[in-house]
Amino acid sequence: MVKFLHTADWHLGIKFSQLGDKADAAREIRIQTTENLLKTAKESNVDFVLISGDLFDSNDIDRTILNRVVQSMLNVAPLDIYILPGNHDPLTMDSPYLDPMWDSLSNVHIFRNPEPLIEENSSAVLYPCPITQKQSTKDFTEWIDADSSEISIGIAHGNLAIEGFTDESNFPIAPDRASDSNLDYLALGEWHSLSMFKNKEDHFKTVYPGTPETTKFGENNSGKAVIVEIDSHNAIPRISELDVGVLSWEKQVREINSISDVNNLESELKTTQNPQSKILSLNIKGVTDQETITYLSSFENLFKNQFMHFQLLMDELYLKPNLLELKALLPEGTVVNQTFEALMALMKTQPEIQDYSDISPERTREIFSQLRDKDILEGLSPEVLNRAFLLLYQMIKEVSQ
Amino acid sequence: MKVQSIRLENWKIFTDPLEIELKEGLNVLYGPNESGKTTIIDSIITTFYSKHTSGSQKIRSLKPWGTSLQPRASITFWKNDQEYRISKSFQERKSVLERMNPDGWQRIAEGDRADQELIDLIGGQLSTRETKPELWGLGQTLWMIQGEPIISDDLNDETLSSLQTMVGATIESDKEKRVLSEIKMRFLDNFTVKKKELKKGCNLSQVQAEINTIQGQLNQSEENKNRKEELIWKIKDNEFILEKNQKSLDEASFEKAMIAKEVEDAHKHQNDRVKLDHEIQSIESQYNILKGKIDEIKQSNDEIGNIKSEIENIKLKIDPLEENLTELNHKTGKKSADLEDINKKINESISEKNIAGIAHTTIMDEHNLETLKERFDEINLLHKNLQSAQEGYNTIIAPSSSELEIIEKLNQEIRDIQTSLQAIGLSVKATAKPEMSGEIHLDDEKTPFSLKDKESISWISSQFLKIKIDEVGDFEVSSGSQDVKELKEKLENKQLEYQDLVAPFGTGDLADLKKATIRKYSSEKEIERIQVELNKKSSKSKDELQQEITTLENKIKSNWDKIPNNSPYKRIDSKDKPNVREELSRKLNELQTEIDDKIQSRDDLNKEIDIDRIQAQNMGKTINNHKTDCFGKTQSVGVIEKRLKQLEEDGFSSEERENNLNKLSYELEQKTRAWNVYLEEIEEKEKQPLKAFKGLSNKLERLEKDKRVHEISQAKMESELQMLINQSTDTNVIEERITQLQINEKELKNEANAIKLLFELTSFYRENTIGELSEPISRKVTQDLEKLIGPKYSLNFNKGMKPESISVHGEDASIDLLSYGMREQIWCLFRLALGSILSKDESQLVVLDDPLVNTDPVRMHHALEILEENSKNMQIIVVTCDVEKYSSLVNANFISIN
Repeated sequence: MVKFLHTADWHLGIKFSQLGDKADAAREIRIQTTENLLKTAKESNVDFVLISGDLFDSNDIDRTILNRVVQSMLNVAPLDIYILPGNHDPLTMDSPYLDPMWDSLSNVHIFRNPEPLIEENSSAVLYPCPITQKQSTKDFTEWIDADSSEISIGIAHGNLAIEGFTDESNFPIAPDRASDSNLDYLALGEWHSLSMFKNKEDHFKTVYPGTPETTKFGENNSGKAVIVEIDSHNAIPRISELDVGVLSWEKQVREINSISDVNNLESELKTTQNPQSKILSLNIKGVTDQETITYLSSFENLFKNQFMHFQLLMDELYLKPNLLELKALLPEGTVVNQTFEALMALMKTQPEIQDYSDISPERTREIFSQLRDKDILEGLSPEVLNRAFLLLYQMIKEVSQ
Repeated sequence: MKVQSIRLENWKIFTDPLEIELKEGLNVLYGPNESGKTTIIDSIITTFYSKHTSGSQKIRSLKPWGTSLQPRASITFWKNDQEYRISKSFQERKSVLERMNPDGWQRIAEGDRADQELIDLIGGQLSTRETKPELWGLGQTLWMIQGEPIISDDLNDETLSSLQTMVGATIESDKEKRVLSEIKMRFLDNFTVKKKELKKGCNLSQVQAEINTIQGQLNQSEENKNRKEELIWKIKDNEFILEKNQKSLDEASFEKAMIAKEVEDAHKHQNDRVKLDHEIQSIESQYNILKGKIDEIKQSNDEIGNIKSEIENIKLKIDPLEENLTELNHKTGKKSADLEDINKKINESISEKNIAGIAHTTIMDEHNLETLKERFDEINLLHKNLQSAQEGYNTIIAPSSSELEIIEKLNQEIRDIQTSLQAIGLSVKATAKPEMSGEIHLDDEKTPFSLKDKESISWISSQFLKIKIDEVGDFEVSSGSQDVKELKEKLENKQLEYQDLVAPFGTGDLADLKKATIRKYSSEKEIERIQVELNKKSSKSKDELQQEITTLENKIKSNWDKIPNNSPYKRIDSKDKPNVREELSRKLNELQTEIDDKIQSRDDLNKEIDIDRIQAQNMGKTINNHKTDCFGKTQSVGVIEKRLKQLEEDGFSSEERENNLNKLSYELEQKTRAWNVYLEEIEEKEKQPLKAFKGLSNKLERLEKDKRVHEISQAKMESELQMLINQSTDTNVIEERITQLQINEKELKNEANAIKLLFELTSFYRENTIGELSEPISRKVTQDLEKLIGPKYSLNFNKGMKPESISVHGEDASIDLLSYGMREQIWCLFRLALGSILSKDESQLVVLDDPLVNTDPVRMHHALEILEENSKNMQIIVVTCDVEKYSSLVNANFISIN
């Protein structure tokens, strides 16, 4: 009988380019989650903990992270923790696992060689497949040949080479490794979503526990770890899921066509639950007028601090100038008027937004012939045009007040 | 606006208050250079546009130089049909704006408000610093300050707006202006004015700069990372090579161990071979020694026999030689005794001959002495004669022949003069009948005369003759010739000279003098003759001869003393000295012959003795040589015998020795055969195994070296790697920062591009609008231009409404290409045209400070017409130092500044 916690892909020290000034905070939450995970393992009275690779996001991680990890593992001693170097933290010469600090931890074991190891607490035999290089198309689990009558557990990091399922060729793992090598459990790492695969006898013996804390948008079924119990060799493992992740990564697409849509969105955002754990990316689509866009533009500042992170994407929100409103605002004189018209005419040069320009083809031609000698078209894009339009609108509004 | 009056106090050169009144229409302000014309025009600008609180350099320089007076200005002007007065005192910081009411001046603002309300009234902008044309409102275009006819900046908004209003063009609203100025401001925040490039300090540039910096850091860390990866690979490769190397080392070591036995055998073979070689060499040397010994013994015995027989032969030769030698020595002794005898006789003869010789010489000397004495006497006599001759000579006083010649010449000259005088003189002959007396005055000499009857007397006078005859009277005759007087003087001089010359000789008679000279000459000849005779007698002097005689006498005496008393030749005092001498000569010859004979005998004997002696010596030498030879040979025999004895001391007999030699020879042959076998085996049993062993050793060494090299490079790489690992930093934060910055950059770029687009569009449309304004101005300027220079040119304006080019017969040329005079004219006309248009509503002030300096009289005439024409609806102030140019303007208000 053996009971252990299987986790992987902690990716401590990961880079969060999208999170801006919240990146540090997100990294801190990650570390706390893994600390909590180890506490849970201890409380669950597991025999040991298996970490199937990518504990660190890279071999260049900051030393403070290394110190934190060592400290957190020391805190749960004498719980035995087995660490497998993965493709992000391979056991190369620059590996943090070569730091002498690890030697001071009697409960932490780093798999350095692909050789069977008898786990002392449970007499299960561990077959680790440490990654020692950054890339390889070799199957590191090939060597495993468990002929023991003890419970045999393979620990590996890589991509199950299931035909049609993944096209990743780096660090392939034979899909039937557990059966072929007579393993009771194959503890894998690399995939960030919790994934379990049945063997020929229709039992889940090959498992990716997923990352304990989601790393980006679209990682479904992540923020997990598993506790595994196996009674004896050839017995069916009992696998229980743990929800450990704190942050939720949410990507939403919203259609905005009028000011009322914006108002609805605003009230919805204001009532979001637990926004401090939420990383929200709002992709706004639609066509609307200058006033709505101007209002919407203020959201970024409005919700920046309410959420863990708030991102407003308006690349697909198009401006259809409201001419009625504009005309009411336009000052006397010809220059601003003509400039507006010219902007409308220039919209015709951009396929994405040409439909939103209400200007007659004759007038457009006339304006183009006036502007013929100017190099105005150079560097023109829908974004620039929209911005120019909005800027002019805002300035007129300003002087009209 | 028009200016009514200007009042200045303590203003630059105007320390006394100055007030000038200006009229509507044309005002000509004139005065010489430095009289302050431009100062007056400047005072309008300063008063209108400088804040009264300004402390600018310009304001500070207003007070008269070197004083601390307070500059004050007060300008009265009309605007919107109202009369105003602005008074500013800059150092006192006072500003007052007043308006004329029916009750008089009413103050409407003070201080800053006065400054600002004034600006609101006249347009333009206030400045605390130096105020520039673009701030002067309409003044920018209407006021031409001295030397700057051309407007270089763009026309200011105020001018453009006013023009827009005037020509009825579309008017920019205030709102629009604000929008446009906001766009311009935001454009200038981001871009440079001229090239429209991104500004260095703008947000976008800053973000881009930060991105570059961070990207640099990232690249560095990426480079380190790559280097790290590379090192890890290399270290792995190196480890692999090291492993391979170790394997090769192990293999080579094993192989080396394997052939160790063969090598041992090879060494044994080599040692055995060398040992055998040594044995052979040893036997060979024993054999050679023994063989040498046997040969030497035989040779020595033979040698001894030979030498002994030679000694016997030599001994036989020595005895007869010794007998001959004894005989020869005996003969030589006898010859030596004879020789001694002859020598004795020779000496005796020589001795006698010497004495006879002395006697002979002495006799001869005695004869010589007598002769010498005779000659001495003769010379003595001659000396006496000479002395008496010289004494005679000395007593004769006579002139020398040359002196005589001079005397004769002088004498002749005197006589010649006397003859001349006689020839030209007055000869008077007086004959008395009866008697007559008187005094005659001849030249300088008065002589009384007295003649008896018939008695006559003659006189000669050379020059002057005066005869005084008693009781008769005087006759005076004088010669007209001057020569007579001169000749007389010359004669007298010559006579005096003559007396001087002859004085030493005691007589003046020439015959006597000649005789004396002849006598002295013959006496001189006699002396010469005696001296010649003396010289002939002897070259020596009398004393020398005397000395010679004494010496000879002494010698004779001494020679006689040398002869011994008992000698037959002692003092032959014979009278017949020649005979004695003859006798002695003969005796001397006899003695010489005798000596010569004896010497000949002696020399012959000496030669014989010498020959004998050489013969004896040679014999002795031969004998000695034989004896030495014998001794040497006997010694050699001894040495050889001693050596022989040593050789035979080994205790072997000759036979035994021969036996031993044969034994050695046999042994040598056997060993040599064995050694040859070894030689044949060398390649196989020695060289091959050793070569293989050496090859392996080299290989091992090479491998070890290789290993060391790789170990060193391994260590190096590992240390570098360790360094890189220690250096490596987590780049998450800066990578995240760069992502944010890039997003930011994109935003800013969009914004900047949008602003640029707006700016370009608004500028474009604005320029278009302004373009519409140029039409009426162009028309007006072209009209005036035609008046000025004929219908040759038409003017084109740029989009900023400024004259840009000129068309000549349809071709455009930049205005900058025109002459300065022409350009100045065009700009003046432009200002007047603007003034004219802007004066439609209200009369404007146009200032032309020293315009048209480069204009010819014909054009000047047209220009004045244009000025006059324009002055009908506006106020024009022309400033000039050449008032004559403007004298044809009858309606102008001329204001003199002096």
